[in-house]
Amino acid sequence: MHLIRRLVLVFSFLFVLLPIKLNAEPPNDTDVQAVPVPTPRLDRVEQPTGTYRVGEMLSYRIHILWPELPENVRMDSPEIQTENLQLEGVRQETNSTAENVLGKGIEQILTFQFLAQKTGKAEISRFSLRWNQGDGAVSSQIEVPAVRITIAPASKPWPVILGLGTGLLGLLFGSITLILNRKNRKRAQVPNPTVLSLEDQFIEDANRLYHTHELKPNPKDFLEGLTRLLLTYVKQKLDWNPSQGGYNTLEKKAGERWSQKEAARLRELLQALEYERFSGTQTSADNVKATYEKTLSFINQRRVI
Amino acid sequence: MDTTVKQVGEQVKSAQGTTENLFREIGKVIVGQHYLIERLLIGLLADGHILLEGVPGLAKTMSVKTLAQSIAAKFQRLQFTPDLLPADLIGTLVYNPKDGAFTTKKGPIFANIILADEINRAPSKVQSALLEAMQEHQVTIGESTFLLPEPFLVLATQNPIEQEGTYPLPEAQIDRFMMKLNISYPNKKEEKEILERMSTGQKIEVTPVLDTQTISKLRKIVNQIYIDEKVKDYILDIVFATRYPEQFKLENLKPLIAYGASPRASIMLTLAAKAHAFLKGRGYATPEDVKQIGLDVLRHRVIVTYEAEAEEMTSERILGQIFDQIEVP
Repeated sequence: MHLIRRLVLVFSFLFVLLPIKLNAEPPNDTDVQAVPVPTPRLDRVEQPTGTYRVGEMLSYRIHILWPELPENVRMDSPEIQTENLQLEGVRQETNSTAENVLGKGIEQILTFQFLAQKTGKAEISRFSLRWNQGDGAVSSQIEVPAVRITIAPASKPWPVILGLGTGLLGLLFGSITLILNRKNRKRAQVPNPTVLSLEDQFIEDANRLYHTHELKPNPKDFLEGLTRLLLTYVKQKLDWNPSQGGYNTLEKKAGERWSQKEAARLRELLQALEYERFSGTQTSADNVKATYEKTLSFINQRRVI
Repeated sequence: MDTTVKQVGEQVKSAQGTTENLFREIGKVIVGQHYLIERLLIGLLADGHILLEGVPGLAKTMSVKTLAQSIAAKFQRLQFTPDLLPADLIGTLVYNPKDGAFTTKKGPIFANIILADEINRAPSKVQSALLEAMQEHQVTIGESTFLLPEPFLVLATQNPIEQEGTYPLPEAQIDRFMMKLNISYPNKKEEKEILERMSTGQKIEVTPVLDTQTISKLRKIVNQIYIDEKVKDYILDIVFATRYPEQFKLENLKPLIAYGASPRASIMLTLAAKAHAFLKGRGYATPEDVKQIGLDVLRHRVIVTYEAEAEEMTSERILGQIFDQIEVP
């Protein structure tokens, strides 16, 4: 916790120093007017994936979109609950050019670096970013998706030495072969890691879930999984926490950020899932498929927008 | 089970018109306070008593009186004072010198809806008499036991301002109330409408839209409302988190909670969620119902420590953290 506070202090200092200027006029001292606080939005995340070793650093990049950046907005200490991971540092980049996805606003990229501590399961279970208006009142909050990874043992030195030695020998042999045969080699291109949008991620996860359901049908489990995916998506897109706000709050947020029609459709979707899961009626295979297709259709439409 | 659930769903849908009429009728007199009216109906349908807390002048008495009128129920307001005796509440035996016999004179508690105003101003023996009646739905006068009329609903109020000379309800007694509601001020638009309605001197008549027998039938429907295992587990997770927060990754709350919610809280939360689902026109309860009603059912059941009081950490803030943490099914 002490380390996290220090890091955020440093981070907040950097935030103040950033030369991001707005066209807003300086406030008139005689008029006290409420300044609307812009709300940040989670655009996408680049989660650490795969297997890491003990002592290895892993990065979690979070892309946040701001419509504009006023003064007096400070980031609070992030609320992070981790298991077997230690927060080592935070980096920040901004991109205020017209090249960002929406064509306007400011993209803030936060890179949180964690150190894997011991072998086994590692998790970032709760990750919240909060901003305040300088008076301490929370003005915005973003929930970042949880992550689960596996930590493998740290590699022992002697296999590394052995490997290095073998490698050197191989290099030597290869160089001699090259010189003798005079052949060109192509270097393999390391493909850039593809970063999926939230919608693409949802569709990929939902398809995987449906495929699992088709192999071993279990409507309750499938609908529960689909609801979780949808709630996670909505949490990231609309900054709505299902544990806190009701559907009225959700519909209002969706109406503000998207359209009233989409907000109503989202609410209907969630209520339909509730009906299938909690009404006590037997869910038929047709109903399951129809619900799945309706959900995918909604997300696909969001993707297009 | 499918048929039963469907039948209940249909019964709920057909009762929707009745509850809408009730809201409309009450709305003729009471401006705004939708939250209060809704919770009063939940208490009525789930057979749960309600503790109301709010400053004077928020239409608490008027809301309860209007509710009683709209369901053709007998209403009795009892002003609790420090000199009140249990006999003033439940009744007593009166000696008749003509025939030398004792006759029972029933007290004002024999009504459908009781408004116990400023319950914390009466001494504990009077509070106990009322709370016993609330629990048992009967009173004993002399050697005879008398059943209270059905439906029987007690709405008790506490004034949060004046604390001098009061007898705070013990926690064990507060636990018997299904919900504790914090009544807030109306907004400007609502208050303007209140001015316009109440400053003319005209009395607004309330027409009964239901009777007590219909209320009993509606209660039976509410009792049959379906609640899934996942929703029950959600309720239990919330209640258990108030007792053992460390088991739910809420270690920071452990030093702040002296006593968590009791098993009565689980029962009350389930009943209230069912009643909430009924008012929303559903024959099944969802986690949304539990979230909407949870704070009202639990805020008076979580006892905080001195440390929490020093940190100005109320039971509501603690419950807020618990609701944030517990995953919705």
